[in-house]
Formats: sequence, structure tokens, C-alpha cells
Amino acid sequence: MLNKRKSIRNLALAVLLTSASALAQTTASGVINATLVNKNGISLQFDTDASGVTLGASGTAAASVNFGVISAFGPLAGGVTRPVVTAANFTVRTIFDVQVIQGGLTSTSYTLTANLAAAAPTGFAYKVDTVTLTTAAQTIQTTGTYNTDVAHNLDLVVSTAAPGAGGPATGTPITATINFTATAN
Amino acid sequence: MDETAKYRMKTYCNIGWKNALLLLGAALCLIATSASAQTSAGQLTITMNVQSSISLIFQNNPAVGTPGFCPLTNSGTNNVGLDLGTASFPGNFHTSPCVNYQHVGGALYEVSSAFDVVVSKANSSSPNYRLAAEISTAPPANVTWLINNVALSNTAFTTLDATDNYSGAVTKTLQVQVKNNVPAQVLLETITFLATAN
Amino acid sequence: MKKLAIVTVFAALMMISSAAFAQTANGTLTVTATVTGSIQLVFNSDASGVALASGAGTNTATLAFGPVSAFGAVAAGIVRSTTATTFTVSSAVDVLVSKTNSASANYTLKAQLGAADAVNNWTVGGVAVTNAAQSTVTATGTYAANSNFPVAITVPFTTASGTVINNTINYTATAN
Repeated sequence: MLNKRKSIRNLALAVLLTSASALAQTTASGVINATLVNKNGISLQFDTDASGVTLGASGTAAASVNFGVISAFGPLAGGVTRPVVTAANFTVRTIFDVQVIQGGLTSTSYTLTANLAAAAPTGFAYKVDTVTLTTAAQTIQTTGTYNTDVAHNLDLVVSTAAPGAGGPATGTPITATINFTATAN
Repeated sequence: MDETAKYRMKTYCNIGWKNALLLLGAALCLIATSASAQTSAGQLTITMNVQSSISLIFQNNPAVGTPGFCPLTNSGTNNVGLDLGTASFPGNFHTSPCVNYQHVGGALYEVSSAFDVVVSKANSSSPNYRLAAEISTAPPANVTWLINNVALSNTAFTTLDATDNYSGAVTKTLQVQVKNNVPAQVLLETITFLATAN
Repeated sequence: MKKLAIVTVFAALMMISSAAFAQTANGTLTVTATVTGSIQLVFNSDASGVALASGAGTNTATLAFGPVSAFGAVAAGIVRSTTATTFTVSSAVDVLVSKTNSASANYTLKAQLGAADAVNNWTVGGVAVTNAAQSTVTATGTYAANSNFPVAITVPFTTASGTVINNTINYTATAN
């Protein structure tokens, strides 16, 4: 009787061990839980226009433009034109591009404003397109197109008066900063 | 001592040599009994059947922390986390210094980070393994999840490699491509990697 | 006649007295027994381990791990750990040693593999066991309490899949 029980037990163990051979694990898996927060927003960058002065830091939001040496009648740097010369002043111009990029917004256009960071130096006036800039923001464009370069004229209107008589200082670089703001419509 | 007392003494002490031997034997027997250790034995039979198996874990790449190699949470396990931070299409905006960020074409941005996959085998004659991946849920429109530039789906595993070597780190780059018209939201995905022994 | 009557009366009295005082016999039986202390070892299933396949409550039991692997699913009651080249499976097994008529305070438990195993490493209660000699699992075992001495086997990754590992461990409890 005891031997019979042992036989049954051994048989059960053998079946258990045999069936186990079919349980080889040939796959393994793992998971990566990844997150990315997609944020909406709008950005502005200055790009060099083919017809204008090559910008410093073109493609960024903090670019620079150097007109070089300007005068009412003398030679001008490449990319700089002199569209207007009067008895009272002369205007030098370059063209620069503004590209406003948006992501995740339903807005289809933007409004562009600009202002001088500080009052214009004596004998200078700054214009973007037709708008003479002041330290207060003024609208340059109301329906700008996203994701493409939009060309704008940057004009320096320079007084022809002599230094100390309302004219600009001469012989030294004169710098001004213009702030631009694009607002999604 | 009088004669009576001597007689009594003689009587008491004279137990005979046979009885003395008997008593000595009994004493020794008792001593031996108490000195012998009490023991009990048992036998346990153990059986098992060894099966082949493989494992998959994710590890930080040696370059972790540098751009393109963000740290995994629970690195060294098969269930890790990967935080790609916050990003936006405009202005190349991204908050995580460990991701790679780039614009793809004119209207997509991509955030990516690489990590290592290590598959080990035990008790197996398999020479190598194949690796596949699948995302858990369908991503929002205009969002694509990729591994090494291979787009993933939530309907089937996509094969990444056919013959990867065991125990060697295989570097994989997880990419998320987001079009610029995708509304602001958290993009969450569970990517399942499946290694199958060849 | 008178004499005869007296004799008869005397004889009758004699018979009466004989009947009144029955014959008795006395004996003394000396009973001797020597009580000796003893201990008993049995195996029991531990609640946290694999249930013994047979022989629970006896001194001849079977612990069946079933299919085991380094990375696959682990059956209930099996604890597994892995290294770069081996994996170890273990199960809690209770050993119950009882004593009777013994002043022994505790017991020493030793274990020894029944057959040599040059491939796998075996431990009982964290103590390596081989078939070369008995290993002391504990020198201060507590009587009448299920004591868990896990049985662990370390298997190298080089072992072929499907290999059956089978061995016995012989336990000996000795009263201290």
C-alpha cells in the first residue's frame, strides 16, 4: 500500500516536472512611462533680409543692425539706401525681416508693435515702416502672418543740423534699441 | 566496637562480588544513558525544473545628463520613467537641459532622449533576441512617438531590431514629434518594449 | 464411650478451626522502568513558503519548487534573487523539534545533502550544505516551535533549460 502511494506521488511529481518544460519564458518586456508637456506659445525672431544689412545674431530675438557710416551725400554700406534727402534731414534705410512663430494656438495672425527703449538721440528719429517710434509702443502691423518672414523698413531720419544746433553728434557711433512685441490676435 | 557491631558491619558490606558487578553495570548503564545524545532525523526531498528565461531592463546611458540623455527614474528596472520636460514649437522652447530639441521641417518640433536597453538570458541557448516596441494609447493628432526614427503604433508591436546581442546595452532614442498646431497639453505615453528570444 | 465422645468433639473442633483459617500465599512484584528523554523532528509547511508536496507533519517530506527560472514568473512561496550569472530560489520550510522527558534546553540542527551536487549551491537556513559533511544550521534550536529554515538553491545560468534538480537533505536534531 505504501509503495503504491509512493508510486502515485512520484508519478505526480514527474508529470509536474514534465509539464514544466513547456513553460520556458522566451520573452521579456519593460515599459517606459514618458511625459512631455506641450506648451503653446508665440515667438519672434529677426532674420536678415536679402535686400538689407546682414543682421548680427540673425534668427534670434535679440539681433543687431549696423548702418555703418551714414551721411546725407556720402557713400553707404551695402544694404543701406537713402530714400529721402531734404534740407532738414536725410533718411537712411535698411530692410529686416520679422518672423513670428506660434505653436498650439488657434490664432491665425498677430499684431506687431514697437517702441524705442529710450528717447531717440539728438538729431535722430527712428521709423519702422511708416511709424515713427517713441518710447511708447506703437502698432506696426495688425495682421501679421505666422511662420514666415515679413519684411519691414527700418528708417533712420537724421537731422542735417550741426551738432549742438539740433543735429546729431558726429564721428561717434550712435546706438538705439528698439523693442518689438508680437501679440496673437 | 563490640563484636555485634563488627558483625553487622561485615554483614552489610559483604554483598558478594557478583552483586557488586551487577550494581556497577547498572550504574554505568545509567550514566551512559544520560550521556548519550537524544537525536531525531528527517529527510526533505527537493525537486525543481529549471526553465530558460530572459529579462529586459532599462538603464541610463553613460552620457546621462548631457543633452540627449535624460535620466530615467527607476533605472535598472523594467518599469522606468522618462521626463522630457516642457517644450513648445515657438522659439525652440524647452525646459529640460537633457533633451535634444529641434525643429523638423517647417511645422514640427521634436524632443528626444536616449537610454539603454539591456536584455539578459539565463539557462537558454538562444543566440540573440529581437526587440520591438509599442505605445499604449493612440497619441493626439499630429503627435508621433518614435524610437530611433521608427514610428510606433498602439495597435501592434513595431520591430526595432532583429538580432540584438544579450547582455549588451543597446542605446535607443525616444523621440516625440509635435506639430505646431497641437494644443497645449501633457503628452503622456507608456512605451512597451518586448524582447523575444531568437 | 465417654472418651470416644471427647475425641470426636476435639476432632470436630479441629476441623472447624481449619475451615475458619484459609491458607494464604504472599508475593512481591518489583516493577522497574527507565524513562529516557527523546526528541522528534518533523517538517511542516511554512505559511510564507511553498507548501510541502507531501509528508507535512512527518520527518519525510517533499518540497517541490516546480518550474523555476531566473527571470520568469515566480510561483507563490518562492523567493528569488539573481546575479549576473546565477539565480537563487528559496522557500521557507518549518522544522518542528519536540522533546519529551528531557531537560535539554535546546537542540542543534544539522543538515547534509543526500547526494553530491557539483553544479548548484544549497543552503538551509542560510548555511551552506553539501553531502561531504553535516553542516550546523543552528546550535540553539527552540523546542516545540515551528522554526523556519529556508531551503535555497543557487542555479547557474549555464544550466540547460528543462534540467530537473532533485536531491534530499538529511536533517539531524540533537538535544543539547
